[in-house]
Amino acid sequence: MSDSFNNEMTQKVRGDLGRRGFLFGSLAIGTTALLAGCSPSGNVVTPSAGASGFAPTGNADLAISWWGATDRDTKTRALLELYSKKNPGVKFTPTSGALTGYQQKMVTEFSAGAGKDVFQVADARPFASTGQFLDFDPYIQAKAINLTGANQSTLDAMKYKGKQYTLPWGLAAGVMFYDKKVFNDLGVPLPKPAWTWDDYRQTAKAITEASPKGFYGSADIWAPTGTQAWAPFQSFLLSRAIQPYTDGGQLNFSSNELKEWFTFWDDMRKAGYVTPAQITAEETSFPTSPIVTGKAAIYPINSSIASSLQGLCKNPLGMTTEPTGWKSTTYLKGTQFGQYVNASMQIGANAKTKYPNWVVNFIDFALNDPDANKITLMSRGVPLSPAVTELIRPLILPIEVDMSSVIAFIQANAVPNVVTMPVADGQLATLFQQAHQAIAFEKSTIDVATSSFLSQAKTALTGS
Amino acid sequence: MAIISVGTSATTRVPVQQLSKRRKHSTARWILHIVLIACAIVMVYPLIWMIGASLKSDQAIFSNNSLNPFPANLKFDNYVQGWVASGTTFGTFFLNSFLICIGAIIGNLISCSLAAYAFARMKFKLRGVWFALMLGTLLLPSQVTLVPQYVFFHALGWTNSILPLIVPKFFGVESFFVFLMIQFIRGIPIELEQAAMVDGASRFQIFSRIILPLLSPALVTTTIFTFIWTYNDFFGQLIYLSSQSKFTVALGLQSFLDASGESAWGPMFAMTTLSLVPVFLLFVFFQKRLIEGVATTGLK
Amino acid sequence: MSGLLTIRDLSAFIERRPPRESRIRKSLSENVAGYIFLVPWLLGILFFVGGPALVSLYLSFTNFNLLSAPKWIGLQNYIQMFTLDPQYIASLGVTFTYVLFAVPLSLAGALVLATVLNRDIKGIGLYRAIYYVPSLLGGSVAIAILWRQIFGSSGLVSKAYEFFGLPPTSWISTPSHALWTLIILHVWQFGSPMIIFLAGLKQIPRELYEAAAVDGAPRWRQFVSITLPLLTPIIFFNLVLQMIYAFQAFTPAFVVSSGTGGPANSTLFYTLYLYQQGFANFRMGYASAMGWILLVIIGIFAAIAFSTSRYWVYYGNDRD
Repeated sequence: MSDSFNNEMTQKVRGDLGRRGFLFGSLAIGTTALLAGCSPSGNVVTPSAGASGFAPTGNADLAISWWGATDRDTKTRALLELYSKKNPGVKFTPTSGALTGYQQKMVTEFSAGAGKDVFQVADARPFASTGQFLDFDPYIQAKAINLTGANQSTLDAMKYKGKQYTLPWGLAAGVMFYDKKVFNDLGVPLPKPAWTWDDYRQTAKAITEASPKGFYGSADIWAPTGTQAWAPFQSFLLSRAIQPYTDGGQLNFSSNELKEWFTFWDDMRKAGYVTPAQITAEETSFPTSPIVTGKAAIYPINSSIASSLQGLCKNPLGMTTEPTGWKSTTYLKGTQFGQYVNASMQIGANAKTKYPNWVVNFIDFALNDPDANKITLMSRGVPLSPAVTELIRPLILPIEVDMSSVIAFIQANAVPNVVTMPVADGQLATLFQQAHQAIAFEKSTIDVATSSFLSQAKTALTGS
Repeated sequence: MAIISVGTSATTRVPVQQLSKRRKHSTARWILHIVLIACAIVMVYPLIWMIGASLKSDQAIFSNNSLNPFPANLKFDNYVQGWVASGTTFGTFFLNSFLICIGAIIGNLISCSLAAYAFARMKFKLRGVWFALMLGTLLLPSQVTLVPQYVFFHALGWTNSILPLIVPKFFGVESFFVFLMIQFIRGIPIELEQAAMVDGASRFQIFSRIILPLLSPALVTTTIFTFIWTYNDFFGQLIYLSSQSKFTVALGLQSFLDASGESAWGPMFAMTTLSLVPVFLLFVFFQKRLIEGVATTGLK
Repeated sequence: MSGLLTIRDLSAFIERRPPRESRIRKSLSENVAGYIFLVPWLLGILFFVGGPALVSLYLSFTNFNLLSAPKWIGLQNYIQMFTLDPQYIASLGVTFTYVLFAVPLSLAGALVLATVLNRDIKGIGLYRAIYYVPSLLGGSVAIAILWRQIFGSSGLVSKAYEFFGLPPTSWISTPSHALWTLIILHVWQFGSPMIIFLAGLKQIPRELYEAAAVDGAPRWRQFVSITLPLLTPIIFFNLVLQMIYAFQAFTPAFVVSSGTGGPANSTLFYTLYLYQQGFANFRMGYASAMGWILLVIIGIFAAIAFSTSRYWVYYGNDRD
């Protein structure tokens, strides 16, 4: 199944705000940074059941779906049990599975009128635009869902036409995981939070040169269904102050940027600093990635899988930001930081659900309840509420501690890029993967792959 | 009748001057056996390896000794783990698979036999045209009708249900079986039906009382092959079943593979092995019929 | 052998002069009765085969994404397929390569084994069964998973490389080798055509072989001059069916490549790409166009097979 949507890795959901959002966003960033620095530890937000007018009553049978590996699966089921215990009369019919095909199934189910009541979702636009999702604004205003302390620009980034149809179920960003043990054993300094691509290259080089044959500094930036290169490429564009798309939904960059990007990775691969094509192609998902199979020390992917990934790795993992500041010696702040915090996993509700009050109450519970979050911890990323994050800090894995500081760092230094992505964006991600593969397996030159990508992208953008 | 038995051979008398040749044949025979056994081992080795792997621990599967299919210690908890791994148990998956198969079998038996009888025995206008059309559908790739069928079922609200996988079978869409039954019916002596007609039996009575019983070998073949093909119809199940609770064995395996990310080798092989059991059992019990059934489609 | 359908039978049937059936009175009630029996099948053709085929032809000229109504775009889909879609061309290449190698290889194996197993020695039934089993199980997801494991980076084949001192190689993640794992999978399942060949071999009269043996013809000569020619109708039958089946192969490619058709499109079967376009990208108009082109391709190949068949297929006399 083509991974036209691969949110686990790196996805930015961009709302439709325009210039006003920029100003608002930078203001919000400043305030949040201030707040994050001094969040009061005892001030935990409790679920506000029974907020004016939206008190849930009666019994309910909620159909819920999500994707994730075993770790997240177990934690989510425990969450559901807890909620049912606290609210007897509410039953859940859970469906969990893999990421591949999840979006397609949702589209199919919704268009047949059989959408679930509440669900994890990656790309909400097809549904929001056709009114299939519940609008949370009235509930937020009535405090039926408590969003105290949540980063407003992140929330705004996932609004559709100004309405809040989904909420972040975990804050995440594109990051790089690294194997702490390998770094320490080889005496290579650990990556710093805001390192440049040149730093990254040097680090990968150092690891490769100090390791036995068959071990590489880093995984390559692409993989068949695992990491995807399209999002990091867009960060690279942003760091050059280039928007990926024009307002009209066409490509806003040329072959120069593509060639530079492809050349960087091709050189890395040829020098042996990243894994060779065959090993990269073995990765069908993160459990088979080079960092898990013990072939590389750095792995670029979305931060939300932190606990799952650590569960699969024998060695302790660390997390750092994706490199930024291409060919500059210092990283760049603001929109040119490239990365920004988003939610790769959002939670949404069916506009036609029979139990809207229960669904909203459950969402509030999942996002804010202390007991609930002590169970789910950071299996979907950093919690939306800073108070909750503080609360669970003693309980989380070291890698998740890293994750919350990385997220905080990004929130402090980056400004989200809010631009509407065209519907064919997912197809472009697949085409980009093809281009990377063609180059890595030496089936085409960089020039040929670039022009092929550009012409196919044009077709996809105009044709659909 | 129309069945070719694959087990017969004529006997020949052996003239004296061929006795020395016979001795050579003996050695040749031994060599033949050895080669055949060797090839047979190669053929089934992957399966044996997989069964063995399902009983090994993960380390044993990937150890240096992994080419040896026989486990040092038998580990059955791979089966237990795999059974419940994806949230929904494989019990549900097997049930769903069997439900679909049974529905398809009943549909095929009824609709294909009716159509076959009409084509084989009855005269009606445009029969030749319809017959040619039926044969033509054998050549038609399923991908041509795929999208509109999907849209059609989607408009009926049947996506994410087993209806698209069963209902068409009640309308004779599997030309292969229609054709198979036509062949069998043509082998039934026409006199039986003529006699019945003279006695005043209706067409339907002739069909149900005379034809169907005599058609039983073809019906059995149809049942067996419908089961196998429906059980393995991954594509159809993939596009029409999206809730995990409705998944079949094939889909369950696939999602198992996805979700576990292949890190749970033992349980994955255990469930894979288990998924092959129904078809294999079917084969063991109906071996002769199966092979005969395949042979009778051997047309000149 | 009664009950076997010869080509002669077939054409006679279509021309409504079936031999060996006695005259049955044509009457109105007969017409009606015939159609009553045929009703389920007719409905099936209308709703599930013929109707959808026509609709699919219509859709192939539209842009259709399931959420909104189809939009007519004329020949754009077809033009795009052949001029602007390298992946489509790649899928054609992959599929043709697959058919070109998988079908002849599996038929050759089937023929050889059928010849070898065409004798009445002890245990022959068991051998036939063993060689048939892969064919029975092979279409399943289970086998595809197994195959992915065997040819993967930590699989048997890779271990075999190590055994011989070569670096471990994953066939599945090497573009030049990945398709071969699927070809091998197909060839592994030669049991079904093998059984059909066996049936055909049984029909060749022993007297022919005995006569040739008396004339001093060696075994291989008998095979070439007696067996092969008389078997050509069955070879033809197997060839056409296997070819049609191979063009439509989906499950192995899907499972082995995790639905990507990779690495680098090396396992992007035509039907897999069709599925990606239709059901992952929801470009149903495009997928419909692809379906029709597939029909045309299969039709062309079948036509070539049929028209050249008179040069090499020997029907001989009707044997009873």
